[in-house]
Amino acid sequence: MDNISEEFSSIYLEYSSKIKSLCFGYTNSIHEADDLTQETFLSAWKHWDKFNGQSSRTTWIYRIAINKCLTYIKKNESKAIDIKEIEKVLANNDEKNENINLLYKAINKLENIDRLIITMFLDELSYKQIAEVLGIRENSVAVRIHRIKLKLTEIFNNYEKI
Amino acid sequence: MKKFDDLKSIWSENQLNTNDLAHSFGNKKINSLAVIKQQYILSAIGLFGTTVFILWFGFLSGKNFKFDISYTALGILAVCLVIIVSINLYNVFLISKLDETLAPKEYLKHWLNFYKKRLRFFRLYAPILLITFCISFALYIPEILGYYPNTDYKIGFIFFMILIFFASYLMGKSATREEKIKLNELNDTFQLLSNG
Repeated sequence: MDNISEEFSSIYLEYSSKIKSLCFGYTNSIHEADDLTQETFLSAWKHWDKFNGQSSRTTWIYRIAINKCLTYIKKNESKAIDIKEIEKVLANNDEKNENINLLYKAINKLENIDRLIITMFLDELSYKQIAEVLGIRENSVAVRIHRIKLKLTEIFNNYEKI
Repeated sequence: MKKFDDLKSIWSENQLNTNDLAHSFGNKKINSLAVIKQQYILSAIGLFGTTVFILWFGFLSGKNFKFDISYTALGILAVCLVIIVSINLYNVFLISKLDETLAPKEYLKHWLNFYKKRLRFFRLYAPILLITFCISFALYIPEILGYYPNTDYKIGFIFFMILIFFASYLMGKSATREEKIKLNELNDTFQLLSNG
């Protein structure tokens, strides 16, 4: 395996699950999240040479994924979240499923761009990385995330009460 | 009552499974941009085929029309179709130039420009094309109605014209509405990103 293939494989192994979560939080469909994840990595492979090293590969991959999601929304209307679909693909099938179902449901209640931002934050990307991915200032990201965190927690707790 | 840190732990403990994903690589053609491009290309091919058929029917099939004006009508119709084909191909060109590796804000800016151009087309040029279409049909109607000697020509003509005009107007209006929705969606996301 050459260097590029090796680098691509390691990035794929490390980020495919996270990119899929990002896409799922955005599309509410596992099948479409699968498609978008595949599209993201296919595009990354196709444009591998375009990477200029100004940011990290991680931010670069996330950029492609987010752009894919933004293109996706133009073709498809948003759908109601399918909880059974989540259960099928969760790595751990235990009682924690209920919480993750609620979390996805709560994420789904956010604005389109907020869903993407909070998913990146939950995936432990730093403010700096998120700012690089989106092409906005770090301060703006911090303010925005603070607001989304409050909103998401509130929505989650409301769902939990029901 | 959970805090945000609890949600973070829920998230990190439940990663989505991507085992099946690796095996399905290369099995499907799923590129979103490719799909959008394909729609424009297919539409262009369909319209180009129609243009070729109209030109063949009007000028090469050896069919003799009763009225000379019918040739002009088909000629105008073919020109309108060629213009729409060119616009579709121009859209394909614009989409091909989109760079998915750009920062989303920049990427959205390109999409916004694309949809603004499309909207401008619907607002300014589509009505002109619609009127030209109607004129060409109007010029061709005597040829159709000419084969029915008992038909009241004037009533038939007016009825046909109203029908075409409304059909085209409604189609144009619905297309403009769709474009506006897309443009607004993109604009909202763009504004959210720009305002931080």
